[in-house]
Amino acid sequence: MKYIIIFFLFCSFAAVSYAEDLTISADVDKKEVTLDEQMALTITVSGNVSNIPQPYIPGLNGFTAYSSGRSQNISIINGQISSSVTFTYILVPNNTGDYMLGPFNINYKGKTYSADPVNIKVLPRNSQPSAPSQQQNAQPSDPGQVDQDIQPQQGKEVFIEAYVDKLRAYVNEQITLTFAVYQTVNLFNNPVYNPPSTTGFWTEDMPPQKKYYKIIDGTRYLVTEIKTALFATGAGEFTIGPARLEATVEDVDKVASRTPFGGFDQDPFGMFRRGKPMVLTTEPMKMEILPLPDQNKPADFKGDVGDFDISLNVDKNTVEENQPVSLKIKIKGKGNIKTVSSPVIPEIQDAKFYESGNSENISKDNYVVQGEKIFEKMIIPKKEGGITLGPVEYTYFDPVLKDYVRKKLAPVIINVTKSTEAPLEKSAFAPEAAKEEIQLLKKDIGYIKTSHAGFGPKNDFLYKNIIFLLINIISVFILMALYLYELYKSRLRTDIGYARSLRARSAASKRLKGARKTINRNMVKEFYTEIYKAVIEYIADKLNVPHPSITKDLLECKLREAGVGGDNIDKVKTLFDDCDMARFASARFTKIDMERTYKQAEEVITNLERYI
Amino acid sequence: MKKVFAFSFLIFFMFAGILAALDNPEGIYERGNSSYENGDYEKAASFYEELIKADKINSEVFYNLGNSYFKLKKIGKAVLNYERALRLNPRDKDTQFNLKLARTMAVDKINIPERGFVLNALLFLYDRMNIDELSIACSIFYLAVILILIFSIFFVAKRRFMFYAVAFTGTMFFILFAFLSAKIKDENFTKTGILVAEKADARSGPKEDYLLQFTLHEGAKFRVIKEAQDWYEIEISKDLKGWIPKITVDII
Repeated sequence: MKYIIIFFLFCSFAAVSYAEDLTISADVDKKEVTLDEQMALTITVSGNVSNIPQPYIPGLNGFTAYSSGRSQNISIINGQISSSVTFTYILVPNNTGDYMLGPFNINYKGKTYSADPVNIKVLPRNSQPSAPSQQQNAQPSDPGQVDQDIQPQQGKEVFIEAYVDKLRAYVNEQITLTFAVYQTVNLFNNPVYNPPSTTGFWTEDMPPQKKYYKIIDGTRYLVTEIKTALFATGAGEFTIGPARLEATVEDVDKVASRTPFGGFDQDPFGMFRRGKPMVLTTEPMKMEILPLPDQNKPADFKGDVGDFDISLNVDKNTVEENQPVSLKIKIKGKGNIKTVSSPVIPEIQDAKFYESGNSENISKDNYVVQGEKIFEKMIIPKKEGGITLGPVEYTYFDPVLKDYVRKKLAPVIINVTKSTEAPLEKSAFAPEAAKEEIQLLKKDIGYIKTSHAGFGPKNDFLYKNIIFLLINIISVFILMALYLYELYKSRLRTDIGYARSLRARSAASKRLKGARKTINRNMVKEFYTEIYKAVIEYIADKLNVPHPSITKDLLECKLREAGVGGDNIDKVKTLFDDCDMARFASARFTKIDMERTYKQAEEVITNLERYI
Repeated sequence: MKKVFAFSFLIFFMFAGILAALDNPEGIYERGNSSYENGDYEKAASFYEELIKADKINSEVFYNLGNSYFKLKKIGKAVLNYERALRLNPRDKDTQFNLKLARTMAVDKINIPERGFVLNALLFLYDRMNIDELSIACSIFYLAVILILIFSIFFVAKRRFMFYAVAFTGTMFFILFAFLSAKIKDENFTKTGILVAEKADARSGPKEDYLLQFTLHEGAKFRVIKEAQDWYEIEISKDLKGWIPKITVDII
């Protein structure tokens, strides 16, 4: 039992010590605040944990809250890490009274830690708060006042104001909303401007921003103005919400305390000026939007408010029938040009009217929305004669005169002449899109062929045709034959020995034939001369040696070189011996001898042909 | 007796007429066309078939027969005959159009691998010429090569020019010769079949008891690789093969 109690004690101690890991506290810079002021709420979460979550802020009744950032501080003491995170919120009171902020909770690892609530007293304007304010924002003090003359307090570095040129306006009348920033110090980085909510209005930005200097109570302020044109879309009471500016300004106190030589302790790096975040807001404004008076309201009034002028022109006064005329109506003036509607042109039966577009040209000179809007119409007269356009009437409400104004334009007469073109040309006006696509209802095969290119068997192919193949094959042979012929001819031209050798046989037989004739005539001498010449020239040609210079010994030697056998050489020798003998003792030789010699000569040539 | 005579006379004339028609392919062709015009597609088809049986063919006959089958809703036969017509006359726009239309009516979606632009350009002539035209073109370039070579034998001075001429004509010849060989091979050795039955089951072997692999529908085109008894082995793509009965297939 004792042990159990000790155990529980230990547990509770552990729990306590664990709970002490994280603490949360909330604090405000002042407990009392006037409506003109704002206050800072800081929530500090500290503990030896590294990842501190965002605290839960309950709905802050009666205040508008803006987060102003967080700062973290980590310290390590004796190896114990403790970190604290400070979340800062700027609170702007909306109403007077006593308020309780909080309690503020934070959830960490399933446990909830909470900070005690803070009591705040909000005092009405101009009452002196008990604690002096560090920063204030300027407000237009009274919404009823049209142009506020701000009486800023001394020492204010930055303040903003928002005002409108009139708090009471007609529907669709221009209201100029001006948002101005007054500053004596530099703003760090880009200030964030949240424009006021303008529900129920048509807004039109009016650049550029205007910058100028203004001296208020001896302090020179740089003023930046952003103007917006508002057009109410309906009658009634409307509120223009608060505009807001988030900016970081130079911390004047710190800068001021810097002496030329002193204070390394304060700001050793002078260039890094410390910034002070600020959130400035303006008062919401109540607007009274008056309805347009019902009295004298024309039937064709379409809601245009401003001061307008109207003009009309046509591009030609004479036109052929079915040819277009372009009509332009221009409305020019001050007012919400974008919503200006086209004046009515009474339609004529003899002509067709087509809208062909509007163009608008808006300028914002002197921060008044103005410009012109052009309505274009295409008119196509259908009949010859004259058509009368108009009269065109246009009504608008002038907020200055507080009455409706009616502008009337004299009618325009257009002469329509007879068309010189054939009436078929009407279709020239059919727009391209109106032409019909050819519609394929159903796809069918092409029709049969009635003509034909003769009938033939299935496998009747040209490549199987003998004549076709022969033409192709023979041509190769022709080529080859011609090539070989040319080769032969060129050898004959260049190789004399070859040519002689080729000619040898035929030349020899020619001589032999000549010799043969002499046998019958019994011309022994001539016969043997011819035989001798035939054989020796044949051998000379074959061996490619000049025959007049040939001797029997040389002949024998040459024949032997050529590989001719001994018996053949002997035969040649005996033949030559006979020839020699006959030339000197021709009487001894008879016809029979001649016949024999002739045969011998033929035999010799035939035998030699084999070797040489 | 008179009746019998008259009857035999009639029969004689009928035979004579048929014989005359058989002898004269023009007549059969004309009759096929007029049957088609009258909307009797069945009869028209039979006339055209008769011509084909008699081996009196041309691309027009196949085209008209394809049309007749198309009208009879026999898509397979229509595709088959258009393909045959295209083989004879590959540039015919009507046949191409009708074949395309007939193919869209076929049930099976068979992805023919797209040939890129380059391949299309290279095979431009191959796609547009039939065997005879390729033969003639081939022969012309071949003879041109030979003629230039003959000239170069005798006009030695112009050999440089001749060389380029031979290079060009020779290249053309080889390309066309390759095309021609491919066409002839296609004609004689590659069998392409069209399914003409309404549908056919492709099995893993040439018998009814083999595993059913896939079902083809009329008009499908495939390559026939092998045959065994009453079965063809067909190939649609590299990994889609099977055996189907011969009677369901016609070879182009």
